[in-house]
Amino acid sequence: MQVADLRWGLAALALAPAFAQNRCACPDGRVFSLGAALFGQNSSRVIVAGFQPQLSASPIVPRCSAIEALGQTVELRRSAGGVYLQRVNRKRGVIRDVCQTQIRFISPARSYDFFADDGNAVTLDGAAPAEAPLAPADAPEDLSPDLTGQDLLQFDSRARPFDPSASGFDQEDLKETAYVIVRKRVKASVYSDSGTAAGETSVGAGTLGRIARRAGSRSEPLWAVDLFPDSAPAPFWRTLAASLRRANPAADRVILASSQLVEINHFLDRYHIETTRFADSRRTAHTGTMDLPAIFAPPKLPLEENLAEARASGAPARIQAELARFALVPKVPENGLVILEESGQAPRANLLRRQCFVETHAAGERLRVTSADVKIFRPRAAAAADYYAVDLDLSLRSAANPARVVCRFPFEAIDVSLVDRARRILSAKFTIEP
Amino acid sequence: MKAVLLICTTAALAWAGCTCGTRQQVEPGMVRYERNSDRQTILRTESQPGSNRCAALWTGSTEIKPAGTPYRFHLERITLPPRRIETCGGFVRRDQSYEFVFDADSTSIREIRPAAGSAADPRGESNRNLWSAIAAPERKRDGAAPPIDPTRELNRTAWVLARRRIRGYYVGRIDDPGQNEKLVALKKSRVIEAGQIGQVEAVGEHSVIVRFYQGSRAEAFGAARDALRRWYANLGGPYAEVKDDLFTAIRAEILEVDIGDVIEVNDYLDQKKADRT
Repeated sequence: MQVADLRWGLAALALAPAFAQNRCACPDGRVFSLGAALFGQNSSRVIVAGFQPQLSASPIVPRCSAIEALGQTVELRRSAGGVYLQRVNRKRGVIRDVCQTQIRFISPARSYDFFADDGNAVTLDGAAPAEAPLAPADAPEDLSPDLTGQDLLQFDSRARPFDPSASGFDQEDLKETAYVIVRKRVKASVYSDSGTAAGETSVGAGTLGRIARRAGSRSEPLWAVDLFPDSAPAPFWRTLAASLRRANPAADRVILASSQLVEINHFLDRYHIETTRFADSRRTAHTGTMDLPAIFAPPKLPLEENLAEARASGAPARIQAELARFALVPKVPENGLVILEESGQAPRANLLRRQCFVETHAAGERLRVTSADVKIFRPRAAAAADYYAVDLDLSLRSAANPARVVCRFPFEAIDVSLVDRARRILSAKFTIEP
Repeated sequence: MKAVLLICTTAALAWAGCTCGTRQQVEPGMVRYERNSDRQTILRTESQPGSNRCAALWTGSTEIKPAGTPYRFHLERITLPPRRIETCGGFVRRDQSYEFVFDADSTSIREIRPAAGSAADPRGESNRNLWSAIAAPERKRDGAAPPIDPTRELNRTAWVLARRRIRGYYVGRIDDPGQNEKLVALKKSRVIEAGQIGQVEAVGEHSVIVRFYQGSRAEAFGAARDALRRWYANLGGPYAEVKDDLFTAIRAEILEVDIGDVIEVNDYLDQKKADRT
C-alpha cells in the first residue's frame, strides 16, 4: 500500500461519522468542507460553496473531484446615515481537479461568542439609505496633493480599485486591511502615528473599522484599528454629548485585542445578512419566484462534464472494485428478466426512473460477480437528444449458470454512491454479500 | 432470406419518422412542451430526398388558456392549425417506457474518447492564486426567466391539477454553509382540494412547488356543496373573502406537494378526452 493511499484512508476514517456529504478528501489528506473559507485582503474571501458531482450521503468521505467556489469581497459604502459595509458576490465558479492543485482550505477553528456580555448592544440602523454608492465614488474629484482632512483609506481605494486576485489567500481572517466590527462597548487605547499610546477612548459596540496593522501581543494578538465613527448609532444621550464636544479624529485610531473584534464576514454569516444596514440587506434584486427552479432542483449534469469529472476522480475504477465484491443470493427463486426499482418490481422499463434489470437462469443459487463495467446508455429513439443514463453492468455466475444485471441511473453523476443505490434496488429480490 | 428482407423493407417503409441531427429519431406522436403547458405534437415528418434525415416536421399545437374570473376560472385547451417547422429538437415520446435489451445503445466509458480539454494545468494552482483559479462560467442574466425543458411536461408555469385531496407545505428559503440558497418545506401546511388548479413554480426529484389558485377547481372534482358557492361567485362573489384580496386579485398560495399528487393539465384532458377542466 502506498503512503498516499494510507493517508487517504486515515482522512476518510477520521471524518466518516458525520456530515460526510458536506466534505470530501484528497489522497494527500487535504479535506474540503462546505463553507470552509480562505481570506485575502480587505476581508475578501473564497469559500467552498459545493461539490461537483454533488456528494451523496455515505459513511465514507468521498474523494474530491471539483469544488464549487464563491469569491466575495466586502465594500465600504457611504450613505446619508454614515458608513456601512456590504458583502458582494464577485465570482462563482468551479475549481477542477482540486486534488491536483496545491490549494488548502482550512475549516474555521475560531468560534465567536457574539455580544454575549451585552446582548442588545448592537442596534444596526434600519433607515433606508438615500443613496448607496461605493464609498470611493463619493471621494472628491480634486486630485490635489494636499491630503489634509481627506479619508486616505477611501482615497487610496478609489485610485486603485480593489482586485482580490492581486494577493494570496490564507486561513487568517484578522489581519491587516481586514474589516471588523467591535463586539461590545470597550475602553481602548488611542494610538498615534508614532505607534505610541495617546490616551483612552470609549468605543461603542457595533462600531465598524479596518485593521491598520498588527500592534503586538499580550495574552492575545493586538491590532491597530481605524474606526469608522458614524458606522454605529450611538444612544441618544451620547449623541447629545458628542455634539457638544469637538470631534477628535485621532480618537478613531485605537488598539483592540482579537477577542474584542469580529471579522466582518463572521458577523454577516452569523446574522444571515449581506450588509451592516438592515434596510439594504436583500442579497439580490427581487426577481419574484423566477429563481425557484434553480434553487430547488440542480440542473442536469451534461454527459461530457460527468465523464470528465469521473475520469479525474478515478470513480469508474472504484465502482468496478466495489461491484466485483458483490455476491447475490435470490430471496425467491425466479427465472427470466425482472425489472426492479427502489419501490419494488416495475412493470416496464422507463427512461426516467432508476431501475435494475436482472436476468437469471439459476433459480435460488448464489451468484458471484465475474466482471463489472460502467457504461453510458444513449438510446437513439424515444429520448431527448441530450438524454443519457449511467449503467452499472454486472456479469454473474452461479455454480452452473450465468446471470446478468444492469442498473440504470438517468442523468446521475458517475460516483461510488451509485453502488449503494444499486444495492438498495437489488435488495428487494436479493440478499447481497458482503 | 427473401422473406426476411421483405419484412425489413416493409418495416422501414412503414416507419414514418426521420433522424434529427446526428442521432435522435423523431416520429409522429412525439411531443414538445413550452411555457404554460403549451404543447406541440408531430403530425408527420418530411425527410430530405435520398436520406432519412429530417427536412421538416408538421406539428399540431395546443395552448392552455384560463377563462373566467379570479374567483372562479377554468382552463381551456385551444387547438391551433397545423404548421410546418424546420427544427426538430426537443421532441420526445409521451410514453417514457421502452424495450430493455442487454447491451443495446450502451457503451463502456473506457471506449468513450475524452473531449479535448482546454483547462489549465491544475498543479499550478495554490492559495497564492486562488481567486484566479476559480473558473467562472458565463452567468445568466439576472431576472431572466428560467429555461424550459421541452422534453418534460412539468416546467415552471405548467398547469397542474391536484389528483386528490392533499396537504401542501409552505416553503422557506435558507442559506447553507456554502452560501447557497435552499428551499425547505415548513411545518405550516394547508389542504388542497382535489381538482384544484395551480401552476408549477419548481420541480424537484420527488416533489414539486406549485402556486395553487383558490378560485379554481376542475368541475369533475367539485362536490355538491360547492354548487351554492359557485352560484354566489357567479353573482359577483367572492364567497370567501380574505384580508389580502385588495392586493392579490388572484388568491394563490405557493406550496410543496408530492410530485405524484399532481397531474399535468394536458395529461388530465387527454385522459378525460375533453378540452376544458
